[in-house]
Amino acid sequence: MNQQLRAISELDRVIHEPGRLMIVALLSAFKECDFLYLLHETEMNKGNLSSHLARLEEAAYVEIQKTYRGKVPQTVLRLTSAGRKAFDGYRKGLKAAF
Amino acid sequence: MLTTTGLYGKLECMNVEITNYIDRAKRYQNIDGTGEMVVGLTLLGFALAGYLEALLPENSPTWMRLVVIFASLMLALGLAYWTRRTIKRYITWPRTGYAAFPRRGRSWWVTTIIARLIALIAVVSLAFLIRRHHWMSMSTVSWNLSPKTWNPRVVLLLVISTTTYAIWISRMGRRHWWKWLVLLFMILGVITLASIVPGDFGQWARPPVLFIALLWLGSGAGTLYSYVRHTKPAIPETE
Repeated sequence: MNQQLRAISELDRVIHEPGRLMIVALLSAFKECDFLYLLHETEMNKGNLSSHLARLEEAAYVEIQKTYRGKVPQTVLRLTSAGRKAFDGYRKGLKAAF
Repeated sequence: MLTTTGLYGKLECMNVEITNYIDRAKRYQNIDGTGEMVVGLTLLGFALAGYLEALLPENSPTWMRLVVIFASLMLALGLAYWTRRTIKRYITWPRTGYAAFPRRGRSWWVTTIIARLIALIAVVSLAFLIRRHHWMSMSTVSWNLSPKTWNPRVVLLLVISTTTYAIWISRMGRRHWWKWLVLLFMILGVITLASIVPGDFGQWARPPVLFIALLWLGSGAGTLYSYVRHTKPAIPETE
């Protein structure tokens, strides 16, 4: 029981927040994707999504690249190796908590 | 405050949600039906190779046949690549966003090859079992098809084509109920063609392969139509 509680308390707080967890889970399946895709899949509003991404970028879990597709601005996002490692660790921690 | 059961229930829910999101991301690859179109065009290449090979003179050298098969497949694969790229670039990415999938790792290829070999062995065994059920000796029965005659290769084609499509629907297109009707049509179509088309396996296989290819293409086009109907191009991002 104590071990399980410890496993829960050791879960990565940055990823544990439901909105960010959703973003990281989606990003983990891709090499990279853009802001529009995440907006569409998570159904968050732009401000909310931007703030979650900023938090993930701050933790060095997500890399954000501003670019253009033709003349249209595009924000490309990818999970960094640290982010991927943290997500794998989080999933393992979650399983250990059961 | 959460009870222990409530807390674990919540964590369990989160775990399920994570799996759902990863699956959803994987299904995005075929949200516009391009996956089905690629399979359809590849099969169309095989059908084209079969028909073109039939046009060659009977005493054509083997290398010429191989060139025809290679050229048909390359044409089909090139067309498949171009179709997918064009649809993604001009339809999918402006509507629901750009996503690039990682390259398959070595373990994926190993697992896939082993799984396909097992499936092939299972299907061949099934075909032989069906053959034995009819009390026929493999050595005495001709492998050529005549009207209304079945052999293991026909069963093989039927089983492979329908199970592949069924697996595809269950993994990629669960939201489109009409795909199960396409599957039913595929089974009935291949059985009908097997019963009415005369000739040896080489001649017989062409119409069913063409039929299956067109069904895959049609299924992809249906998915694309549904996707375009339910989405609209996004306003350029201002995040």
